[in-house]
Amino acid sequence: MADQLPTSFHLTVVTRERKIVETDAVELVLPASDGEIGILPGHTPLLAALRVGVMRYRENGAPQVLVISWGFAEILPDRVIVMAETARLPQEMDVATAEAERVKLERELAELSSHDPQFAIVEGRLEESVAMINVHRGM
Amino acid sequence: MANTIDIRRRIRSVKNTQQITKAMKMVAAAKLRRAQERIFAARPYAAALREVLTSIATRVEELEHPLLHAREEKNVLLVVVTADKGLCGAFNSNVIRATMNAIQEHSWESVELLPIGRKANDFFRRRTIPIRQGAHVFQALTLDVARGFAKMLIDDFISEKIDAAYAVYNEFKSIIAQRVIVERLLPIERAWDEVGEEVEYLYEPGPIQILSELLPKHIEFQLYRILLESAASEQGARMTAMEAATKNASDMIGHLTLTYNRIRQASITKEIIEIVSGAAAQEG
Repeated sequence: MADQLPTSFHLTVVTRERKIVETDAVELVLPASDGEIGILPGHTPLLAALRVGVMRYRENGAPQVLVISWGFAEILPDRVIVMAETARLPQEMDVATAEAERVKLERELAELSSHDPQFAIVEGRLEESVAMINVHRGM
Repeated sequence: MANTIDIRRRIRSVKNTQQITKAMKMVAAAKLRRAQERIFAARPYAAALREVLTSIATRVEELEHPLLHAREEKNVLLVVVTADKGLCGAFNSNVIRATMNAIQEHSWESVELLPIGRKANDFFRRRTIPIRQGAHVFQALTLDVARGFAKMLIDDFISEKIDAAYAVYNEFKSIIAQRVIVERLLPIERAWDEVGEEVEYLYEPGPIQILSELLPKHIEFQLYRILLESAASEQGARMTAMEAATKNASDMIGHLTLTYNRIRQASITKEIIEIVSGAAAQEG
């Protein structure tokens, strides 16, 4: 292994539509498919599938939060790339909007049969808005 | 000899047309910039996806997955991507011609088309080739659109309803250059490098599970990219076409003005001659 571990890592969060975060972070928590995983600088190389949830990371000072859904994370000792299906910053959506979206999506979901291809998409959106509400409540 | 009022009227009408083409060119330029930005915004994701696929391909010895599995191409689905609107030069007809050529060149047993864009829909609806319900997507081009099509393609491929899927579309080479290409979507070609840097990864969950989630994403992303490229190409093609039209209008106005002035000159000369000869006759 490396003689000395790096003290920070380069964090990039990309979606197909934009690059959201590019920064140096010292700590990161990801919603992996089998549960949350925490990452510190010098993590062993890891490829993880992600689910809908809250991603937390810390630059030198304040902790930052991001709601992401699905995708993958490639983790190397000095670099982390998160490829998310969607990613949203809490400041991009307030509680009221998220709440309204949750209600709307719940209604939509009730109308769809579980075989409908749209079902999984709407369900994911719903989880996303719930995660966003939780972020705001917790802050 | 045409009379001056007619010519003046024509000049005015050509000028009006020129204003329209000029405006359309400006609009296309603005839309092109936005379309280009979307392509650029998708690039980091493309790079990341490629990197991960490469590292898995390097790591997993026998890469096997239904979506990678090629079989004899009997039933084929062609995704034909045109624009919703015309007035963009040969943009739409190029794609349609390339589609017809591709169908003739290959000896596929059956071909189905998935027309995307109003122009393709309009054209192929009147033909004998079976088509699927396509869409006019370019008004609001989002990821969900690509995701829906990708899901359909993947389901049909896995259930062996189709043996291959191709996309015919305009690739965005530069603002002034588009190129029609026919690209295979399914089965997935191993477009990534087989030898990347050797990194020993842990996988969570296993590499095969990750792969089977990654490959559909790859298809989705390819479709999304194709739609973006086509949208940008369309604006580029329209810009070029409208630029040419504006120039043609200027040339035409030039010619007409010249003719107009000649006629005007001729009639003045004629009048002077009449006056002069009239005066000369009275003096005599």
